[in-house]
Formats: sequence, C-alpha cells, structure tokens
Amino acid sequence: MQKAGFSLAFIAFVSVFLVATTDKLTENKIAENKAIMLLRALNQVSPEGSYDNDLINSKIILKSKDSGFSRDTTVYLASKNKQPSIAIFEVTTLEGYSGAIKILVGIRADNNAISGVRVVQHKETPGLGDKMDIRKSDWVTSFIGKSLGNPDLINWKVEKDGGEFKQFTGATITPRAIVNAVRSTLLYAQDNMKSLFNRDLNEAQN
Amino acid sequence: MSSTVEDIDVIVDSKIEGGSCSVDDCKKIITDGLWHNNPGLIQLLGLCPLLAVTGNVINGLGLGIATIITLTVSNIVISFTRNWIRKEIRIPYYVLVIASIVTIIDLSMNAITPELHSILGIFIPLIVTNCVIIGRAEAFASKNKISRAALDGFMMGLGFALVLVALGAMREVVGSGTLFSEASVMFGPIAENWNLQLFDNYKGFLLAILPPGAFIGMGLLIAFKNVVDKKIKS
Repeated sequence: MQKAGFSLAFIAFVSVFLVATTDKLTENKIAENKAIMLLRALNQVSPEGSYDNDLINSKIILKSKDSGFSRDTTVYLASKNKQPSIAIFEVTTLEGYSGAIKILVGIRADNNAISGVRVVQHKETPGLGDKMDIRKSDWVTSFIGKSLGNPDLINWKVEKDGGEFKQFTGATITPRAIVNAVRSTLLYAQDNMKSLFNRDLNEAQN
Repeated sequence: MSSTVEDIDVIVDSKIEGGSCSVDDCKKIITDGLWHNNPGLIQLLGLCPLLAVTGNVINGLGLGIATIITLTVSNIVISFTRNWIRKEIRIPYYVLVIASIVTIIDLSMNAITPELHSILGIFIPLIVTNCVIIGRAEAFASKNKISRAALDGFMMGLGFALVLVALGAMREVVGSGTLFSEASVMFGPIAENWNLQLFDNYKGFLLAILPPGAFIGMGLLIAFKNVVDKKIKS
C-alpha cells in the first residue's frame, strides 16, 4: 500500500510538472493572442483612423466603489494627435439572464455619442439571448450614433419598458441589461469624460 | 472487500489482452463505438455536457471534436502506462491523467490556434466532467494495446460526436427552424451561407432549446435506436 502511495505521489509530481511546463511554454503566446483579440475588439467599437496612440496600454481602471459601476471597469482612452478621441469602457452588467455580460462601449470625446457597442463575453441562452452577439445578429449596431439626447433619457430603454430600443423575439432580459448598461455608461461619461482624459495625460507626464 | 470481483474482471479481460488488432476485432471496436455500445445512447455517459451544449448543430460539433481529441489521447496514455499502474491507485491515476491532458490541450490550443480556441475553448473544461473518458480508461484502455485503445478512443469519441450532432440538429430544427446557423463562427467566411432556414416565418419552439428539450430529444433518440435494433433483429 505504501508503495502505491509513493507511485501515486510520483505520478502527481509528473503531471504537475507537465502542466506547469506547458503553462510556462504557452504563457507568452497566450498573452500575445489575448492582446491581439482585445485590440481587434477595441477596433470594432472605434472607427478606423479614429486614434493613433497605443490603445491597449493607455487604460485606466475605475474602481466600482468610486465610479458606481457594478464591477471594476477598465477604460481604454483613444486619442489622435494628442487630442482625446474615444473612451472605450469595458463594462460588466449583472442584469443578464445567466451570469455576467461583458460589453465594450465606445463613446466619442467630442459629442458624447456612441461610436460602437460590442458584447465580448456572455453566457446567455443560445438561440435566444445571444442575438446581441455581432456574429449572430446586427442588433448592437443600432447603438451607433446614439447619445443621451438622442433618444431622450426617458426613452433610453427597451420597447417593453416604454423606451425606444427593440428587444429581440423571445428575450427581453438580455437586451434590457445591455441597454441599461450602455445608458449608465453614457451617464458616467457625460460627467467624467474630461477628467478621464486629463488623468491619462497627467499619468503620461509623470 | 471487492477485490474478488476485480480479480474476476482481470481474468476475463486478460483474454482480450492477447488478441492483436485483426480485421474482425477492429470492426467490433468500430461498431461498438458508433452503435452497439455508443457512449451517448447506450452507456449514457457524459450526459451533463451532452445535454447542456446541444442547442444547435455547431455547438454539438464543437464539443464532439474536443471530445474525440481528448478521448483518443487519454486512451493512448492510459494504455501505454497500463502495466506500471497498480490497480489500487488506478482511479486517482485516471483522474490525474485526464485532468492534466485536458489542461495541456486547453493551453496548447489557446497558444497555437487562438481562433479555434475561442470557439472550442468553452467546451474543453466541460470535458473534465465527462465520464465517458474515465469510463473508457477503466473499461478498455487499461486492458488493451495502444493501437486498440487509440482506435477505441477515436470511435467512442466519434459515436459521442454523432449523438451530439443528431441531438443538436433535432433541437435546432424544432426550436428555431434552422440548421447550421452560426456555422461561420466555426468554419469561417466559407460557411456564411450554410445557414438553412427550413420554414418561413417560423416562430420558434422555446422548449426544444431549453434543457427540457434536451432530455426529451435524448429520450426520442434512444427510443429510435431501440426500434432500429429491434427491426434488425427480426
């Protein structure tokens, strides 16, 4: 029996060694791939040529207790010729049907209008709630150009709640979660857009 | 304790050990995996991932491919080491091997084929909970030569994948009236036009897409197989 224990310990050691080695070998490549994926997603919510800075590395993390977001939120600050151009919020909403939904909301710095919205991570019901995924329907593109005045704040809801945004057949909870998350992001951006970019510049100078 | 039962098992199975992979023998492994001992329909193993992801054909195919790879590799490893592993520790050994293989496949795919990983990635952790893998390790790979174990792993995986695709197709057709929707997510732009809209103005049948639909569909598939088997017999 003791022998069996030793051999099991040996096998465990070998397994851990193999997994750890694979992890070490693939670590850099995976981080690289992740950065490429992130950049691709960020480019989807910011029109081509709208920025010329190193977008992935100019980010600010907003703590949830200071910002009012339900989770810590990362903001990527795009600028062109050192002028603020778009702030991209990586917002997490917990109002979805199953689990957290992570979305990117791009907001233009000049007029606080939306440059694009993309859902980057979700676990919504396949075939129902997942129509907010750009690969499955173009619903999220309906946000482009919208801002707090267009439509008015009171209409920044899904149709079922008396607002202006279409829900999709069979699912109300998911679109409601996204519309609400985009609305609160716009509200945050309205008050904080300037200070976000100023903070970025200050940090860059230091 | 149960050692007597195990001893009998070993004696019975040692007969298989001697056999090489003849044509008849290979044929049996293949038909067992695909039909007579299908992991989805007969062994009823791995139901958790099976029922969870088969909302449409493409998801079923995704989990199917991931299962084939893992099952083949784990069968090979278990078979290769079968003579060195004492039977008291074989179960924890299988768990260790399978968990390591799944993690290594997951990491390697993430590094080498990030595109494929972004699609199959969500299915790979599900495989750890799939008892088909440990079932085949115990019932077959630990008692057979590498070539046979590899064939068995591949065929069992394929049989499982076929059930996943069939169930996915049933639920997709009934639930949303389409087939191969989202195929482009897996196959790229070539598959852009694969989506078949089977009925015009189909309102969808929610039950088929939700978990109860999975159980009902599974029951119908098993019933269908039993009917076919009966027909063949008579």
